[in-house]
Amino acid sequence: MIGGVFIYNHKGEVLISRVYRDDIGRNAVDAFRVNVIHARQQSRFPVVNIARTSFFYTKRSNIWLCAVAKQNINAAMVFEFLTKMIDIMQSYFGKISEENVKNNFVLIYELLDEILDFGYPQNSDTGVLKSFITQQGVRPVTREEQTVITSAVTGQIGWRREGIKYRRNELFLDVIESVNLLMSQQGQVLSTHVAGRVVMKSYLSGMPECKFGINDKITVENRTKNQTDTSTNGSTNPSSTTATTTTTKTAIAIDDCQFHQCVKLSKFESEHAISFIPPDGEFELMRYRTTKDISLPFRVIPLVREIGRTKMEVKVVVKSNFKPTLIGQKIEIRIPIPPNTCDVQLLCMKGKAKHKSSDNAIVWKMKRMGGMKESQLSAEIELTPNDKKKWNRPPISMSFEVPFAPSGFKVRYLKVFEHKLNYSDSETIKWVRYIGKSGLYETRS
Amino acid sequence: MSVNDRSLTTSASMNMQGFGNSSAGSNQSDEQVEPASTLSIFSLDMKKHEDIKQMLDSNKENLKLDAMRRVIGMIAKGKDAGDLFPAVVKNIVSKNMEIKKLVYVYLMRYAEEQQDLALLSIATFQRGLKDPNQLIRASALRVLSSIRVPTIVSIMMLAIRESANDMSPYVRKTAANAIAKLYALDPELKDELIVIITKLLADKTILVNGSAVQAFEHVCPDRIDLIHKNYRRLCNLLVDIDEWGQLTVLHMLTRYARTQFVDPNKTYEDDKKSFYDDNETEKNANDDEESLDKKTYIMDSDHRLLLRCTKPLLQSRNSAVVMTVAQLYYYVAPRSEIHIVAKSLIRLLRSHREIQTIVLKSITSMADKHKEIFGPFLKSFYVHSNDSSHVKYYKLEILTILANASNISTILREFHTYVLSPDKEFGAQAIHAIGRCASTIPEVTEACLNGLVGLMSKKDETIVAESVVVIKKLLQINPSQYGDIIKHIVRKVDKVTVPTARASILWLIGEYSDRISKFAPDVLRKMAKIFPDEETIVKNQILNLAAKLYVMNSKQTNLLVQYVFNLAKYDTNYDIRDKTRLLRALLFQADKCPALSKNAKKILLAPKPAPLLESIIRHHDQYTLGTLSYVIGQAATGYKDLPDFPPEPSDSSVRNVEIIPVSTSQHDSSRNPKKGTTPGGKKNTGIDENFFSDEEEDAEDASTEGPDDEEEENEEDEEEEEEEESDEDDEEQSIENKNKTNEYEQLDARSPTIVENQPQNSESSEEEEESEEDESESEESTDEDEQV
Repeated sequence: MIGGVFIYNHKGEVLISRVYRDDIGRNAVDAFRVNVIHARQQSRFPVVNIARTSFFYTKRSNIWLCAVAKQNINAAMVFEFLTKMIDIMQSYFGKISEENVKNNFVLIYELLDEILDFGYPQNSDTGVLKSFITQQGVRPVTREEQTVITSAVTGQIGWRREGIKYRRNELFLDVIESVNLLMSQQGQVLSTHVAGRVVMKSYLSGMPECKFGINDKITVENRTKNQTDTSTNGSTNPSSTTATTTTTKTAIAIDDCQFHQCVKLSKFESEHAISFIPPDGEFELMRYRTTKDISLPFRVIPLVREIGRTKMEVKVVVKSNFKPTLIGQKIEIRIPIPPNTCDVQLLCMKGKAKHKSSDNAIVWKMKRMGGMKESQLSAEIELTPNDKKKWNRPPISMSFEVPFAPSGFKVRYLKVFEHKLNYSDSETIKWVRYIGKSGLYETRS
Repeated sequence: MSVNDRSLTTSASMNMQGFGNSSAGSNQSDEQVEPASTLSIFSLDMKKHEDIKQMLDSNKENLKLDAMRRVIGMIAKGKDAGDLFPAVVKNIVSKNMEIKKLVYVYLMRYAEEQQDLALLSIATFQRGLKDPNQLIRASALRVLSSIRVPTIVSIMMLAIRESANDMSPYVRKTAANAIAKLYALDPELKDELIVIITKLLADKTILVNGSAVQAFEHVCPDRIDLIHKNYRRLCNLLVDIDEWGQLTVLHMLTRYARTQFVDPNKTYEDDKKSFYDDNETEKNANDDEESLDKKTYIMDSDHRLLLRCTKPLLQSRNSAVVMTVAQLYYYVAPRSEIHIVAKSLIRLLRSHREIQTIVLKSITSMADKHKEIFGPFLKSFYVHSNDSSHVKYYKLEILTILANASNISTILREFHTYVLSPDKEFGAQAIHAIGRCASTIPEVTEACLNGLVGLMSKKDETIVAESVVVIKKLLQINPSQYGDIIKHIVRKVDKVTVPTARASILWLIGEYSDRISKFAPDVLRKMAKIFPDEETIVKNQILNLAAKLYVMNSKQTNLLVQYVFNLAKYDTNYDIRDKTRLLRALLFQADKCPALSKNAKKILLAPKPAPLLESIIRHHDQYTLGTLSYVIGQAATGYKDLPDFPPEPSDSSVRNVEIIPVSTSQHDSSRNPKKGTTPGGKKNTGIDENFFSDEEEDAEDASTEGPDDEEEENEEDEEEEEEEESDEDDEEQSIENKNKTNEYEQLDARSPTIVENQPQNSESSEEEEESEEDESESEESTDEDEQV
């Protein structure tokens, strides 16, 4: 029941306007511009109500996207739709920018027409959309293509069409985790969690059924239970306890996870099995979150000393806390310093450190750092006397990339079953890669 | 070369061609030119359209396509392209799908304005509706129903009725979508449409269900009786419907449950309460009564079905679906089960800022009612420095709601860091939140007050001001114990400069002057000196202070009070002048109004009710959670409250279906071939439930299920391998992972033999690995044999 969708540039000029319903007047476009884009208000609620018309908006790099509604609709749905729309546009022409939107007017208009019918969101799977909304010129559509499109659009499985063929059946799994940390200055972990994603690139023929196994605590425990049950009754207690201890070491507790629409949720609910027919190409199979037993790849130990009113000493130690054989990359530590800094003297053991006066921060970069290492930066900061107010030390933030999953997440297996075509699980080539990235990784100083 | 580049260059070259070609095209288009071109005013504009028109009339397809793209581009920008109508519409017969589609887009926008001409295109759609290709049938129906021309209502009605019986589920889905459009065009057709909706609701394919329910919600939401027969099927199929359809169905089911089932908490209530109170060691004495109550309530099996079928959706990737399920549980589930939604809602806090805001707002309301469910996730609500201001406020609010005696110390420590955050307004809100915690949790009142007093020595004015205001309110709630704090605050009066804070301090002095009888007159003396420079709000309180002191201690303060009143008499603000006149009459001119003067003390020092420290954020609980009305805090068009549970449940037999729908099982097996082999038992229940609710069945006859069993074994094997390999893993990594950064490793190839054979530069030798993998596979199996 979305009444219309508008896209504006940063100045508030309308790039795209599409109205689906009569109850949205043509002046709604201007109402939003005047009241939101031109109003110099810093932060506003993401839903604005102007003259009984509600505007749901979001902003992506200078472009405003706005959905309009009058009816009483599900607010989360509208935002979910807007993000979906952004995803689709990105997959068609890359970054959302004024230039790209202008170059793709027709495409966007066509897309809007397809994904919203009378304001009701429709199937918005990029794979399917791409099969029949193309920007290729006049290419006569052959009969075969026609049937492919038809089966893609009208099929029961919205995300995969029939008759895909690859010479080599191959799949790639990326486990991408972002670690979030908030640590107090005493080194106490205030809150930490890992938000992980499993991205799969599948190049498989036919309609393969996949089964995906991870070292999730519940599945592993279920299995050990079965194992101990099936093993002969003669096996005494000690053996079963060893079994459980070894598994709990490798298993992780997943707080919560969500799946791509292809995963059969009912099966997950009942058997805790992740089985699905994957879309072709790249897609995000699952997302998960863990909060327990996270191995923090880096530790930042700040030491800030204020010497009088015009001088300050900052010492920051970074310790890497993972196997020495692994190497962390793209390490950047951002140490905020007071705005009234006039001079900074820096000394660091490794990498490069710079004082960025525009950001009021010292930025310390290291290209790579091995495991179980330690590095230190010390800075002497001279301040101009300023008695206006006390500086309230913002947290030190850090970013990095490491080649393992900090949550301990492990892919145990991914099996492919394709009954009609003649290839077996063992013929499929499978690749896994683990990437740990920093999310919001902050240490209060 | 990217798509955009290509389209740009082609359009540029097209333009050139367009001009060159125009002579050829113009012959055909002569008749069409006159009606449209007269409309445009700007000559430049006219020229431009002229050129497009010629391109449209040409017989080259790529020219036509380019022209159509430019026309649509104009529409997208909001420019008027209405005068091209005749030239565009005749292209509807084009064989090219791309052109056809763009013409459809154009038609939807302009048909309403040029109804007569639009009628010319109807025949094409009617032909399209009979096309053997289901996609063409569907799109013809979709466009036809989007043309808002009242004269074709009957044609639309006919088309929808026919398409609702179409073989292709996709066409039926489109028909369901079209119903809402036709209803908007002509509400008179309601009864006829309901017949079609009834038919579509009973459709057996998931593709249709979502749209059918949508049409139902739009046209006849009050005809809940249409749902009865379909209720169980919709519940069971819910997980398989597409995500947008799920949303509509969930909304409808929430409403359905609220009208058909009884409140699961009603008879349960007291019992539940005692359950949660257990933690606080308060067991109710009347246990027996409650257990009786508990027995009287048994949840309807259909009610249970709904809860069970919606639970898996909490794992959906669509955050709106998760939100809606949470909302369903909030309104329909018994109190003891609501907690399962918490985890999923917490997860949504990781998504985009806008959704985060909506979710937090909903959590605020849910936490207010069911504190215990979010208790374990306290840390998720800690504020991060890059949160938007709304997100911060909601988090603060939730933390305040969740505060209790056991977690208050961590929360207060957290609040303390917020107070010092650079966002001043947020700091003030945090102080306010501390005040609220102090007033609700008696154990920490003292600690909070001390903390707040400590904050008063900060340099930041807003912090000091807010602390004073909050302290004032806290003291008012319980003034007897805190004489020291009052004295401490009084000493601050010179340093505090923010008007509201000064006013608060002065009010405190006046109110509790009996406790600080030595200080009070001196403060008044100081204030009298600077009276003219103060803000109105402070002046007001100086007057109050003067009057109260005079009542308490007239001898010492008589002259001072007179002086202040005289100053106030000539103040620029009329409120101050009026107030002075009133107070003067009350205190000094007893003869004028004796009745009042006698009671001056009672009037001025009447006991004041303590203020309630209220939330800074307005709740909109009166609206249904998660809807637009709830978010914006006012009823949007078409808002209806969720009905309350009826006192008596409806007859559950209305939901019984006599015949087992065969096609659903077929469909399921087509999606899931393995399931098809399992025997479907329990036919006598008359529901197709057993196909979908795997949990029970699997538990029952796990041993009889061939394929699944096999798999389990396989997995176990894998498991063993894994364990076996785990120690070798390290070894392997030490060889292979020297300087390892982010590279793929092969999933299955892990056995030590591989590692030895493998050359170090693993990326270049993919082909080799492929062959080796088979080896490794066999290697592994032999290994495992040995182990067993």
